[in-house]
Amino acid sequence: MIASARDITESVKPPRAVFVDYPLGHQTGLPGNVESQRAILRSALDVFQNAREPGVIVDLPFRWHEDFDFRAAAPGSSGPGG
Amino acid sequence: MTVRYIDRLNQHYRSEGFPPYSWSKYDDAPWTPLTKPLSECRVSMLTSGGVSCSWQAPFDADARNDLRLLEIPSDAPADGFVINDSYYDHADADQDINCVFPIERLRELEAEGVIGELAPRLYSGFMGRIYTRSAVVQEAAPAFAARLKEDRVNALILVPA
Repeated sequence: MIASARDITESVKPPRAVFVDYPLGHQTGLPGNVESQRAILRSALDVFQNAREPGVIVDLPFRWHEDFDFRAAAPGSSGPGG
Repeated sequence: MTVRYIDRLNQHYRSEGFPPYSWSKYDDAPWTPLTKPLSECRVSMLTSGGVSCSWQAPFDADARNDLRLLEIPSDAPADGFVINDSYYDHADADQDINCVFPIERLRELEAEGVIGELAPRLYSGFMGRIYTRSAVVQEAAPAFAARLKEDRVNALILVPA
């Protein structure tokens, strides 16, 4: 799994997971940035190949360019349930 | 400090008057050891981000309990996707699907021999808020696993939205 919600991932406990500390909607990389996307995918595939026990979450070293917080819904939408 | 989604979503749902969401919590994880190198594996991918091809019926952005599973051909053009999902900001993914569904990157890794091959079908489903846990565990997830077995998939990349 390539995840950006660490607490949910810890609760669900998939067999193999990497955590990307980016806002939701960017789990597999920055738009238009092939290297960013390749790096995340390669890291996830490495963990997949080398993991020896289930439930481990590997924190990937990529950092978002600014602080970010929870956002309840996509901007411009009223969110779930209107 | 990473975002605490469970707490924030619980607060958000409460403030919207929704019933409390019962989060899945497992004490352990299933484990099937890999029996061959990645370079010999057939790989598929699942997104729950409301992704569809432009020629498919789109997801409802505010979906609840939508257990529909779309099949995405692994050679689908990268500029032919649409995203309908009000639960996250997909403005960047709208411009570049690879932000949430790295289909082009996987095709490249296949061409480079990093993965054995990309499965013919990739998947998009389980989006929105799903309350019917039993329907997922007893029906939708096993049906999905059966399709992966049909396609002889060795490894599944999950990208939850």
